[in-house]
Amino acid sequence: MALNKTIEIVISGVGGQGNVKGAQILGAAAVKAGLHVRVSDVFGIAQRGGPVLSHIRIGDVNGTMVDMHSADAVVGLEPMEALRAASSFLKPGGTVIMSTRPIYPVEVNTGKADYPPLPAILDAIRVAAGRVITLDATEVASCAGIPMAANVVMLGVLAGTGMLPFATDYIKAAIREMIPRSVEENIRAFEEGFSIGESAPKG
Amino acid sequence: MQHVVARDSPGERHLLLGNEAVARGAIESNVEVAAAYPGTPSSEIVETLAQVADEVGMHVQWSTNEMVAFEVAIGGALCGKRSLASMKHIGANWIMDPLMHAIYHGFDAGLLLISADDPSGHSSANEQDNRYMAQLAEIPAIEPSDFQEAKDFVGHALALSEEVRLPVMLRLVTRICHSRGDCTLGPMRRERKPPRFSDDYYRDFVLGEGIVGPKAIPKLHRIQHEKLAKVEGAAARMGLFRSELPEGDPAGGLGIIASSAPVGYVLDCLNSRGLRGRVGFLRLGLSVPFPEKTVSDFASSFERVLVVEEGEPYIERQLAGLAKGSFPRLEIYGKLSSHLPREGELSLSLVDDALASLLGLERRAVPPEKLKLMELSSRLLTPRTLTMCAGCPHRAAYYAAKKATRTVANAKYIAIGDIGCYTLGMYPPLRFMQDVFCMGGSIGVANGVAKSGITDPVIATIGDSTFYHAGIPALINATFNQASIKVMVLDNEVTAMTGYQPHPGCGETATKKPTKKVAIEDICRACGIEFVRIVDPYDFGSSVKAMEDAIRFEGPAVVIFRRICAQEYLRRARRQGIRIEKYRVDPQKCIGCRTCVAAFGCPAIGFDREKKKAFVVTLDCVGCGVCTAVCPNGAFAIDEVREVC
Repeated sequence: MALNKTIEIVISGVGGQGNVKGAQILGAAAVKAGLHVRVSDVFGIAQRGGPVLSHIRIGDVNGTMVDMHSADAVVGLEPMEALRAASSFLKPGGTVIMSTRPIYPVEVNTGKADYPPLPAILDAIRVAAGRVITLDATEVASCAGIPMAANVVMLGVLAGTGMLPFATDYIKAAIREMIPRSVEENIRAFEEGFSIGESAPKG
Repeated sequence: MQHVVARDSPGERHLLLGNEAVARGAIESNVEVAAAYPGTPSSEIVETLAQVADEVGMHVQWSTNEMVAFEVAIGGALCGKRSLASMKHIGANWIMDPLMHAIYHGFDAGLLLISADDPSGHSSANEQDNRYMAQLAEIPAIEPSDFQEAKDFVGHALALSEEVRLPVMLRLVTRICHSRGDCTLGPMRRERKPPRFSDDYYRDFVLGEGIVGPKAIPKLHRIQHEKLAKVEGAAARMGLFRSELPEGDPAGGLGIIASSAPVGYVLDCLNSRGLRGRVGFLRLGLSVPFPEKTVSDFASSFERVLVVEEGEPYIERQLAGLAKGSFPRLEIYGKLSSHLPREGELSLSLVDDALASLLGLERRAVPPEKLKLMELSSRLLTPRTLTMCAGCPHRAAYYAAKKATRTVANAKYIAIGDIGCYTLGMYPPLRFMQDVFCMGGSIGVANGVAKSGITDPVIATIGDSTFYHAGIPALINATFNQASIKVMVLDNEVTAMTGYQPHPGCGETATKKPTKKVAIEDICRACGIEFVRIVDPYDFGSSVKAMEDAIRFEGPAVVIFRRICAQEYLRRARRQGIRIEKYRVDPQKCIGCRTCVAAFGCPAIGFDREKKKAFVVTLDCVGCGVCTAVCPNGAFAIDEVREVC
């Protein structure tokens, strides 16, 4: 079962975006593939709207948390949260997959703070990332008939990059087991994401 | 679909949440009675068991509070059923009384106390380490370090409890409870035994042995010590200690002792630095009573020992005490030597830094491009502060109460909060309460404030579940001693913060069986409260009036703000296809006064700085309509009615 190569992923987003579910699907898929897995979620006590981080470690791993500057990939469901997670966890030269649709924090909505401009976020991420893939995952999910499935689209993009050490079918099987409703729409959302990841420029 | 934890398919591997693994362990080892009060990070243990209770034949309940939950478990064990009570670390403070009575007793069936500690206080008010509670009670504490152990050690803990006839604590931490990992299922040994109430303790033991009178207690205490002396041997037989000794001389003369989640950090550090098998490593799956023989055998091979544990330096201190007599030259490192931080939870990098410093290895530096990125981010990022959800009835209740204090008390009042989502009422922009303490503390502390000579209105704010848990004795006290406090019961009809568990006011048990509702208003009246008013917090005018009347009333008064949690409402609306109203701002009427964003603070309302107009974040609006009462210019109106997405 032990795998020499380990892969570490951080999924970041805002409460309500499906971070935790995405991480759970990825973890369950890796277990189906016979790999050793650790998944950990970090969030505050608020029910919605706070930053959420999910850590996924696959391979010869024991601890549950991705260490600072060690993530092979940061999957950001929201631009500012992508930056926040990349800043803490991205390994130099690692991959960042970012959905470009912002969710404004209360501080921005109420005019007390500014939301950082998207180009500034990307410039900052590119300082350390080897590869950055951007998309509007909610838009892609809407085309697949299920706007809520931006998280599943992002898993598709990640799988499409070829970074994951197991076959895509395991993820589809996990989606079928773990998503109670609109399964076929979710599978379509995953596949749409997959082709984006597959065709994204390398590096 | 059947929950994984109820599958009778030994050998299957599944991704399980630590709490689910514990639940599975309880099912595999034939626990028949399980009780809990929800508390992060422990809630999913009993929540998971409740989902499969009927299927596996287990009694599972949410109890009114942790003390009752533990007493329920005592009752189960007393009738020969393996029983457990689970709770968060702070929740366990409630059980000290029954626990300290159970320890001299001894039961025929295993009695398991599950304490989910929360180092760093991710969802808690402190970092207390409940191994010290186990030490105070003189009961064994077992510490799983991963997901397989989280499941397997439940069975060991119950077997140990039966072998030595003591309650046993399973001490978990957040990173076990709330992380997921692969776990291989074992066989399910479900067996429903007829209950047998055992009165052996008094009949045969206390009376038979003549343990009565003033000498009884020391004798019972001595018997407990005799039981404790057998624990280490039993734990060793169960494989709760795992020792790896290096071949040849250990690198740097170093051995490591670890327990709980940090075992994983140590393994990762040793593997990544190629040190596995070059330094010694002892994993303690049992830490109370301190396994002196196991630790002595291990420590005797090393000149230096690093202790890596979550919480207080408990093992480190015990080892220091042991070394004083046995190995006076042993150098001990850990939290007390500042090689690891004394506060907050541990991490891989913290353990790696400690190892590097002890072995003279280079510490991992932050890569330069990451320093640059971190610097850029610190300028770009804005925080997402904690706030109550859009449409939260608590926000409306606080806003109304605040207005009432202005109209009848010149905005002078003292408000004490309690534990729940509504604690967030302390934060800006509402800043309603000035202080908060423990479960039920709002009413209790308000009693004292009111009796200290304060002449301003004294308000206590408490949630529904917390009211049942701990508010009632303090409310009776207000009547008994005539403390003129004004209690706001923020009743959102569910235990929201921990994941919407039912409470005694819901009319439904943990396993979704209908039950009698215990009405908060009935309790208040029975407690002697003469002013009891029930209002809908979305009805702003009535809410303000109710609080004004309560403040004017001479004597203790209760206002119950009753409205279902907005998140729970949305969930039901989504399931049932209920359409909700979405509001909008009429830009002609909005004068840009910012009352809605600066004083009320609903996250579904934004403010456009350029246009100087408020706007509604349509996706987040849940249609509570309180904004229409908050806006002084009537700028909010219903925009459309649509389904929840």
